[in-house]
Amino acid sequence: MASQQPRFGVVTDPEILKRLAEYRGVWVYAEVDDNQLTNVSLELLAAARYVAQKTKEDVSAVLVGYGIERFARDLIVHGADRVYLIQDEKLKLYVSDAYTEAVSQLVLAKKPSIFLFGANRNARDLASRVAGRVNTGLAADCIQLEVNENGQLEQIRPDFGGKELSVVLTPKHRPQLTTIRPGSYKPLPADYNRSGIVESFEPRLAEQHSRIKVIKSVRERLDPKEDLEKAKVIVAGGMGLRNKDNFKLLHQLAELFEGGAVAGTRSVCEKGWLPHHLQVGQSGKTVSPKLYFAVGLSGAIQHLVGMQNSEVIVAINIDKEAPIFKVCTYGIVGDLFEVVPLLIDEIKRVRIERTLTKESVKAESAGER
Amino acid sequence: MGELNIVVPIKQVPDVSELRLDPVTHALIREGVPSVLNPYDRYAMEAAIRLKEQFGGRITAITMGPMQAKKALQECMALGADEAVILSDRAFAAADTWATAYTLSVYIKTIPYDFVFTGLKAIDGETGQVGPELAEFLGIPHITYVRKIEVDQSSRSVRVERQLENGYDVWEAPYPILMSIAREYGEPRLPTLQGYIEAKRKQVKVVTAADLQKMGGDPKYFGLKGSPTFIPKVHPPPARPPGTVWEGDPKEAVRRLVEALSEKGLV
Ligand SMILES: Cc1cc2nc3c(=O)[nH]c(=O)nc-3n(C[C@H](O)[C@H](O)[C@H](O)COP(=O)(O)OP(=O)(O)OC[C@H]3O[C@@H](n4cnc5c(N)ncnc54)[C@H](O)[C@@H]3O)c2cc1C
Ligand SMILES: Nc1ncnc2c1ncn2[C@@H]1O[C@H](COP(=O)(O)O)[C@@H](O)[C@H]1O
Repeated sequence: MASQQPRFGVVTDPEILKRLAEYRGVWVYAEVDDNQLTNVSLELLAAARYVAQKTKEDVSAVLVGYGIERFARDLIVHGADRVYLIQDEKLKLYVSDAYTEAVSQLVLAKKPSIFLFGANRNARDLASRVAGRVNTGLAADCIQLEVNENGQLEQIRPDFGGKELSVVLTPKHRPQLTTIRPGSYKPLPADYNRSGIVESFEPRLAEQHSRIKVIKSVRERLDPKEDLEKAKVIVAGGMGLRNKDNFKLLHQLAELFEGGAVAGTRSVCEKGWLPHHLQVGQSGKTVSPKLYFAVGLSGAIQHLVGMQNSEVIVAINIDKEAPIFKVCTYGIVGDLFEVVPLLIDEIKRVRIERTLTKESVKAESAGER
Repeated sequence: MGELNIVVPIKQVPDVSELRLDPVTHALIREGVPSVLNPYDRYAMEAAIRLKEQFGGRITAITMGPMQAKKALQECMALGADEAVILSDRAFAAADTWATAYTLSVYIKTIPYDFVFTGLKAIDGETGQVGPELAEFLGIPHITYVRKIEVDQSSRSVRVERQLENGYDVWEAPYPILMSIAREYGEPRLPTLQGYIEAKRKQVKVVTAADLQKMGGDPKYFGLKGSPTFIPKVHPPPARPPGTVWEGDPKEAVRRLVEALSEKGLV
């Protein structure tokens, strides 16, 4: 029996290959929560387009709910070739049993090869139960996807809190189900010239498929300044800040940037210096802004897994041995209480200088006329 | 009112805070790392104990794992589990979440239960998938991230609150049902010395692959060969190219930093 396990996951049995070949297309679960598409839904489309270009397949989004047609266009302009629209009054709010049945019916009918979900709470709840229902593998919390030389999806995920990365394959089962950590991919820019098909699918939901009733659903919306997954610049502080009050300094730096936000390490959030939804790391948010300032934080592995995909990382720390200097793009060894105010002044100075030169260039070219 | 039967699947896991990377190969050093009861499973045990205190009943702690995982079960018995079961066999080794859930389901189907309480996730794999998959194989509904439970025995239903990232839900469902218990449920208690002494008198039931087969389990779904997912390789986390770090005069360092950021169009 044991010899049937494919060596290194390569499948050669022609029967199995034939069965696998019936499954085509890359799907994403487009999640509506609190009457809006979740951020991660658009991120999944970016991941799906990357994979689909390698497997030469198209990308479909699965949109589930009631009265949600209006989101189909957003999904198309952000990369979907097709939107499967599943609407039913029983699906008005997320509930594990009815959603599982509806989505599983679509999977069994249309047979996608790959199906991506967000790794946020409700979507991973759904993905797990769907994996059970359609009998396939599910890789959790992936941060990166690749396609190997055998056309299999490589689902890359951190294990043991990021101390190790594993590559997960689903060799003999389809679809290949994956949950992707929010913040691992950036949404593609909206392309209003894109067109796509919207296809309705009507699931048959019997009594036994909706035994759970939603009595209440309470949501709090984030202040856009605190939406770390969307922030372009993040100024993160650690225990080096010494107290809650000193975070003002980080706010001053963040305010210099459009789309700037302040965040922190777990230690800082546990102290109550910042609210928990501003925690970056393994047990907090995964973020990938253009620019990440790591100020007075050591760079523990659990913090790094949440921010190491940032484009540019600037570390400011008094201890030159701090691990954060191993991952930074630029670093300054120094006292943050000295460095950050200097940095704020320098950015202001450079900007003023820049506008002045622009104006003088304008003035000069005006004079030439 | 009738007593409640509660099953708590638990896992023994390496103590992640003790895991170190080999400084040369950057591979994880697994040897000599102590094993503990998965911290999230304490919340599941806590929920089971509180319901038992309220309604009376029996708690069965169950694990699939190597024989050394008996130790984690003993801790559960010291906390108040009445029975403990270990599914242990080389045939179960290297199971992924699907195969783990399948294997657990074969045994759980043979015993009476009203509730199955799991942890939110196990700290080694951190998937949180075993619960919902197990519920699927048992053919019962499931609710994840539960922070509050009210049982109505007359209608055999529960009203629960689920903790989400951006709020919470209140759901009502019939039982038998599986729930994963969130941290917000409440601080789990610690086992007492008295509990450990009483636990010594209780037996851990050992169940093998052959036993499960007699219960209707299909061995082709056990362990590695029953697992839809497969891990061909493990890497150390990727290293970023080395950055530029300035020491010395902070004014000069800041000037250079802002110059570098300007070149990238970031300020
Ligand atoms: C299961 C688990 C999950 C975890 N999840 C997370 C998570 O999601 N996110 C997270 O962040 N952590 C997480 N942690 C905690 C993590 O291991 C670290 O403890 C934490 O990140 C450290 O926070 P810190 O860098 O703020 O503090 P410290 O490690 O204490 O670092 C403070 C730094 O500030 C520097 N400093 C001090 N004074 C100054 C000054 N005047 N100027 C400049 N620098 C100064 C010091 O040199 C030091 O490097 C987790 C841990 C575990 C076990
Ligand atoms: N081998 C196992 N034996 C018993 N229960 C398990 C096992 N693995 C996971 N569980 C249960 O499933 C929960 C979620 O685990 P996981 O899906 O691995 O993150 C755990 O908190 C346990 O309650």
